[in-house]
Amino acid sequence: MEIHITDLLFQIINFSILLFVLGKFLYKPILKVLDERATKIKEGLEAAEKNVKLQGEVETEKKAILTAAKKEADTIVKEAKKEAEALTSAAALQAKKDARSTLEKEKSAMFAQLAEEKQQLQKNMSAMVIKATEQVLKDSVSLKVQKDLVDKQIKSLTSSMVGA
Amino acid sequence: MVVTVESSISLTADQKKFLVSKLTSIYKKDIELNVKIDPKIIGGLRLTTDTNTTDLTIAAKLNTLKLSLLAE
Repeated sequence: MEIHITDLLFQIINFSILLFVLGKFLYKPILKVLDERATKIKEGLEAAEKNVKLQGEVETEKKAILTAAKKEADTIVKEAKKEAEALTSAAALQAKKDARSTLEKEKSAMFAQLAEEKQQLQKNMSAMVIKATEQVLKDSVSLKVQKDLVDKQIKSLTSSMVGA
Repeated sequence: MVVTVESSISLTADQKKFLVSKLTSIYKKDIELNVKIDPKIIGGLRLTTDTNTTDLTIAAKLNTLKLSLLAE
């Protein structure tokens, strides 16, 4: 095989031109595109990583908010229960008190009425007894008894009795 | 001194005499009796002077009893 210097030179010049052209118009833009793509991928990865981190933070914050809300809800429910119990207890106590007061009033009124009726009955009975006694005495005290009584009273008269 | 004597029955002369004697010794005065009959007093005597009334009648005792019972 024969090597022609001219051809070789020509080939070398051709190849150099090709290298120059490729380097100038193809290799650099491709590198640029690749760099840009790599940058975009990196940015995307960073953004994704940031998103993941943010999502984690959001999740944590969400959990914290939920926990706080649950705690607050529990506290509210507990307080509401406590308040309801207190109200129920107070209402029951008041109702009991009212019932006792009403009962006492009724009892007092009943006793007062009973006492009044008893007193009235006693007065009526007394009046009847006196009237009956008076009638019996009028009918049964004989003249002799009346005379003896007068004698006795005259005999027993003293100065203090007549206010002298 | 006049003493009004109320009784459910009329007083005998002896009773009047004894009463005058008793009252004279008590009041140390001459006594004139004004005797009244009142069956409502049931029994006993009621003596009244200008200043005093001595009620020894059964009606008065019943009245006292009545007031005492009604006051309870």
